[in-house]
Amino acid sequence: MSGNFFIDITFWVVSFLIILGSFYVVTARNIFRGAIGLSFVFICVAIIFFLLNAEFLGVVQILVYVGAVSVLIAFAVMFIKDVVDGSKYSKYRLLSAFLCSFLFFVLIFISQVTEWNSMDSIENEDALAGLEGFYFEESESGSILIKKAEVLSDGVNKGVFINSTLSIGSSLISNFLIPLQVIGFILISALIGSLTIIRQRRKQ
Amino acid sequence: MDMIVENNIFRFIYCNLVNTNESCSDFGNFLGILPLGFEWLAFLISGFLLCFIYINGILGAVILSIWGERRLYGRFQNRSGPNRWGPMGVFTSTADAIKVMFKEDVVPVDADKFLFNLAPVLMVFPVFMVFSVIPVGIGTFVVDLNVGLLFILAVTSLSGLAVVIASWASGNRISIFSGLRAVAVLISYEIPMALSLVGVLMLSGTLSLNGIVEAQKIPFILLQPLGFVVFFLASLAEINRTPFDLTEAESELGAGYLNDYSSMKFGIFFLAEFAATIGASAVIATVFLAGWKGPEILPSHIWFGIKLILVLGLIVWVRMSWPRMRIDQILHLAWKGLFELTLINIIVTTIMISIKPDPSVNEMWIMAIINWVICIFSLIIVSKFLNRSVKDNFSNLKNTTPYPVGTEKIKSSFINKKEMVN
Amino acid sequence: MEDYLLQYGVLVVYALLAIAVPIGMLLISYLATFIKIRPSKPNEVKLSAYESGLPPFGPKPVMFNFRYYYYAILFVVFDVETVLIFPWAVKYGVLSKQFGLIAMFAMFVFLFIVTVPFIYAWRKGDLEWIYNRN
Repeated sequence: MSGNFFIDITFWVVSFLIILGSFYVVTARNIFRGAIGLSFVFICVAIIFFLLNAEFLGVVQILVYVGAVSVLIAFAVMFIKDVVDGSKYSKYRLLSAFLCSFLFFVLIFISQVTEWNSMDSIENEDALAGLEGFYFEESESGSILIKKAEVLSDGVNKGVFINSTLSIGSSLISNFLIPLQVIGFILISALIGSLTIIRQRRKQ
Repeated sequence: MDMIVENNIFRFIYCNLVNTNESCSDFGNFLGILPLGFEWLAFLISGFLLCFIYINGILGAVILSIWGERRLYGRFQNRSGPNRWGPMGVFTSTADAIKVMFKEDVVPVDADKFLFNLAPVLMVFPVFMVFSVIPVGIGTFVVDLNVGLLFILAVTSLSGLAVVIASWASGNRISIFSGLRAVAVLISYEIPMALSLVGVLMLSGTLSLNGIVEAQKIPFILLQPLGFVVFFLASLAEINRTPFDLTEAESELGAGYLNDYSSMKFGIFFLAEFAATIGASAVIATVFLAGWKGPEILPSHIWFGIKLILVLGLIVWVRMSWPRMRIDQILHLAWKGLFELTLINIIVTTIMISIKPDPSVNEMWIMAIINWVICIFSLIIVSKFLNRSVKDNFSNLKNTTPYPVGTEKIKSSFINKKEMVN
Repeated sequence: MEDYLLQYGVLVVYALLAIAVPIGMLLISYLATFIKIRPSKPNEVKLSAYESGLPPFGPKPVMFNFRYYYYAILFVVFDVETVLIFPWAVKYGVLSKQFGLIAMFAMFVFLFIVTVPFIYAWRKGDLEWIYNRN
C-alpha cells in the first residue's frame, strides 16, 4: 500500500467529481443551484492543485474563485428574475455551442503541445538553474540560511516545488516584472469598465 | 517506509501503534501494537485520533466560552449571569445545546430543501478548518502548512458563500436582505484583513503559523500596531461581533439570515458563530501576541491559553462598550478607513525592512517606537477624515428620497418609506 | 514519503471529520423524531416564511439594491491584488538584499496602478452607500 495509491485514488475521484459537477452546472434549471455547483467545481480544482504540489495556487484558487468570483456570480444570479425555472433558450445557442467546443479543443491542443516541466523531467542542474534558484533552511542557531536549489537522490528537487510561495515571490520581481505591471493595468480596465456598465444600468 | 508528520501528538499515537526504528527510537520506548507493514493503517488511525481530539477540544471550548461570555456580560451589567445549573452555572450551555437538539424542526414551504439543509454544514466547516493550522503549543497542531496564513484567509472566505446559500435557500425576503448585507460586510472587510497581515509576513518571512510564532523575537503587536488594529477590527466584522453585528440586528431584521432556521440547524449556526470568535482570537494570539511563546515558568499550552482568553475578554469588552454601527458607516470604515491604514502600514514596513533587513532585538525596539508613533498619528488623521465624510453623508440623506429596495411590485401603502433605507 | 503529502493526508482526514460532525448532530436531532422526543406538528402558518409576525405578502423580491454589486466587484479586484502581494511580502527580506530598491519599487508601482481605479471609484461616488439620485 504505497502513497502513490492514495494519490491516484484521490486524483481519479476528484476528476470524476469535476466532470460531474460541470455537467450539473450546465444542465441545472435552477441558476442559483448551478452557481453553487460551480463553486463546488472550483474547490475540486483546488484539490488538483494541491495534488500537484502547487499549494500556493491551490489556496489562491479557493481564495479568489470560491471566495470572490462565486460570491459575485451568486450576487448576479439574484438580479435575474427567473432564478428557479431558468430562462428561455438564447437565439445564439448554436453559435455559442460552436464557440465553446472550439475553445475546448483549443485548450486540449495547447495542453498537448506544451512541454510541461514535470518534477521527473528535471534531472540536471542546468535545467534547475533556468527555473528558480533559492530556498530557505533554518540553521540550528535560529538564523535563516539561503541555499541553492538541488536535486535530491529520489528525483525530488528541493526548493523549486517544495515551497511554491517563495519561488513565486522572487519570480514576480525578476522574470515576471513586466507581466506584474500588466496585470495591474488589466485590473484597472476591468474595474473601471464594470463600474461604468453598472452605473449606466443604474440610470435606466 | 515511514509515514510520520512533525507533530507531537501524532508522533506519540503513531509510535505506540507502529514502533519504527528510524523515527520513534529517539523519543523513548513505545508499545508498537501493529506489526511492520501496516504503517498506512497506523497513519490513518493516528490522524483520525488527532483530528478527533482537536474537534472535541473545539466543541468543549465553545461550550465553555458561551458560559464564560454570559458570565462576563452579567458582570459588565452588574448582575450575576447564569449560575443555577452546575457549579457557577458551568453546565448552562450544555443544557442549552441538548435542549436545542430536541426542538421541533421547521422547514418553510418556500425553502430550497437541499440547500437549506446544506447551509449549516457549510457554515461550520470553514470555522473548523481554521483551527487545523493553529499551533496551540510546541509541536501541537493538526498540520503545519507552508501556506498556513493564506489557508486561513481562504477557508474564511468560504463562509461568505455559506451566508449567501443560507439566506437564499430559506426563501424569505428578510433573510435575503440580511444575507446581502452580511456578504457585503464580509467581503469588504476581507481586503483590509488580508492586507494588514502583509507587514507580519515581511517581518517573519514565512506563511506557516508555527514559523511566524518562532520568528517573533518580540511580539508583533509591538512591531505592527497598525496591522494589529486593522486586523482586530476586520476580524470583529468577519465574525459578526457587536460594533459590526448589523446582519443579525435583533431589533431590525429578526435573526437575520438565520431567520427561518430552527432546532439543531440554528444550533449549528450558533456553534459556528462562537467557534469563529475563538478562531479569530486564536489567530490574533498566534500572529500578534507570539502564540505559545513565553517565559519558561509555564508550559507553552498554558501561555497560548492565557493569550487566547485575553483576546476573548477584549472582544467581550468591545461588545459591552460600543453600540451597533449603521451599514453605511461599516462599509465606509472598511473602504475609506482601514484600506488606507493598511497601505500606510505596508509602505512604512517595506521602507524599514529595506533599511534593516535582519534587525536585532534592540533595533526591533527602535522600529516598534517609530511604528507606534506612525500608528497613532495615522489613526487620528483617518478618524478625522472619516468623521467628515460621515457628516457629508448625513446631509445627503436629508436631500434624497429613500427608496424601497425590496420589490417593484409592492403597493406603496404597505411600506413606511422612511424606514426602508437598506 | 514526502512530508508535504502526508500533511495533506491528515488535513483530508480533518476535513472529513469537520463535515461529519455537523452532519452527525443534524442526524441525531432528526432521528429523535422517531422516538417521540422531538415534536413535529407542522401547519400552514408555521411553514410560511417568517416576516416578523405578519403573513408574507407580495411577490418574492426579484430586484435588489445594485449597491451590493459595486462592493463585490471592488472585492474581486483587490483580492487579486492581495494574492499578488503575499508571495512578494513573504520573500521581501531576501529580495531586498538580492535586488535592492527594484524589489521595493516594483511592488509600489503595482500598488499605485491598482489604487488609481480605487480613487476613481471614490471620486465618482461608488463607495458612498446612499446614492444621490437627483
